[in-house]
Amino acid sequence: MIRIENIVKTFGKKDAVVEALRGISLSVREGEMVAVMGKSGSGKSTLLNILGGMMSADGGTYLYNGKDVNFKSQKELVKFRRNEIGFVVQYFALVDDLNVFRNVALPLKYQGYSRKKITKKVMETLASLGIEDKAKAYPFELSGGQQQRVAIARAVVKSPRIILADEPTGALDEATGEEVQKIFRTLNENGKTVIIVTHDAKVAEKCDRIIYVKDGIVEGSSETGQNGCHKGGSV
Amino acid sequence: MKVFGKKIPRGNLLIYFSFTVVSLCILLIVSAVRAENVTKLIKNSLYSGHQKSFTIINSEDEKQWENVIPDIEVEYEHFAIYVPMRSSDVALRGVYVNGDIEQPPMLSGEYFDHSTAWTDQRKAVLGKNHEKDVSVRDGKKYYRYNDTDYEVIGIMGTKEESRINQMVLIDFKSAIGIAGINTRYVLDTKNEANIYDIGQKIYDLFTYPAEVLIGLQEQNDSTGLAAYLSGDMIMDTMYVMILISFSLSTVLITFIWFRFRRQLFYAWKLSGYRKCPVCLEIAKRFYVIAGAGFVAGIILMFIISNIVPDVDIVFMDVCRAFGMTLGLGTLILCFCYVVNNNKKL
Repeated sequence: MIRIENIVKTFGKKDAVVEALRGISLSVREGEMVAVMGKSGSGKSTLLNILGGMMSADGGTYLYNGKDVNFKSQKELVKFRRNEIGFVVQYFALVDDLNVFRNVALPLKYQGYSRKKITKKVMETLASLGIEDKAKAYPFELSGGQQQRVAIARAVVKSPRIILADEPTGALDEATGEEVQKIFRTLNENGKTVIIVTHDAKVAEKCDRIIYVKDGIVEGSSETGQNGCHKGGSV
Repeated sequence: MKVFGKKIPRGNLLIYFSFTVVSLCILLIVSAVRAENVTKLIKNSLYSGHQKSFTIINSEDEKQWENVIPDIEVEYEHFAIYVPMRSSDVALRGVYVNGDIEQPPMLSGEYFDHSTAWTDQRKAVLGKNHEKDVSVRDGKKYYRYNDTDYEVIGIMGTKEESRINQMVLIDFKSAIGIAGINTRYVLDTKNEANIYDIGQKIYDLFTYPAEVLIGLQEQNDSTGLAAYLSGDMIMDTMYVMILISFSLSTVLITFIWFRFRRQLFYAWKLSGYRKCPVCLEIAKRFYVIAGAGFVAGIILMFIISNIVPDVDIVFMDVCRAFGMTLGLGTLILCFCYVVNNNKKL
């Protein structure tokens, strides 16, 4: 489903150039649940941003379902992100002054859905995550776990094929983190491809496969033996 | 902060208060400039301040203006020719208008334009003290002067007693009919530089035996800085400076607003919003708050004008202030958007 080859990404100019990715290559199959592990500064979040079309790469190729993702066209990247990707980030990225319903409905706006259809989709998604009773609450009125559920709801409401999560349990306590992890597993079992960036080995172990990133390149990968539906991803 | 159960972002409050202050400032300036113009008009007996008096003598053709006016109109616009007349009971004046010129404050109806000032039908604009003498026939208002009826097209006047309230302005041809062509006139132009050119043109077009007595030497009695300091430029500059200062603070606040709204922009980015919906959403949010600030500014202005008798606001002031605030707001929004977009917020 996803195949990247020799992806390069640098930040800064002249003397202050930082090479975040130095020719990284990997592939992820449809339906896989993959963890990307590495220390801080290893380039895993940059990798996730490039996979999700949030950032363009400076070099290399990105094939999605066999088709080249054109980094030069912002329009195409936005379209790719809108239709194929659901993002979940560490600190939830919820909008404080929008209630839960409106936060989750954000990706559906300007997509041509009727108000009725948006309401139906949002409420169904909230119900699937067990937070339908929080629809009118504001993010600051929710616990960390509930906020992350809202963020997940926002990521999945538009039915993307891939869920990208950047340290999704990083801001949560252990028990809540496990609950969130279970949600990702359920999403994966329902056919979503899930890529989780984490430095938490416990989170990574619950994925089908772990890809280790160090200094902007893949250091190795290992199968975890978890009961994912679609085994067989390879670096 | 929650209002009616809805959370109001801090940045929105800042923009709201900023636009309330900017709108109030613009309204005060617009109102003060209008009041200043009216005072100037009253002080100058309804002339703009750049006018030149001239006299025609020895003309044997009472309709000579009908040959002269079309020739001037072709070349020049934005000027008026007045025919001041001595009358024991009213301050009467004939008016010819071409283009945009200083107008007295109108209480109702319209002031003269070219079609109503240069006409064979008798038209009048009355000072408000003469409104009681108006009669109505067939839905039209008429004013009778020297046994002749003039259709009243507008009523002008000021709140306080002024010369404008006592004046009666009539169309140019009717005025010539009363005063005769050999009389004194006042040429008034919007642009001071035009006064000598139009004066020269009138001088040239009135041929023998008619003669135009007009002084056409430019007066340079004050030099650069002195002229600047002696005029209304100090007040005007001060107004502009105040406005610039408030505008700059609004720019700063809009930047802060963009910073406070980062979360929302990031959520849009995560959701895959295209550029067009992003611009639309930003504009919608910004204009709603700025608009609410403008409304608050108007309310404050009404309160001030009720408390302070010297401050007065009319509908046109609100329209002008709205236009200026909208223009300023749009400029600031575009500037901040471009700068923030380059920073990839």
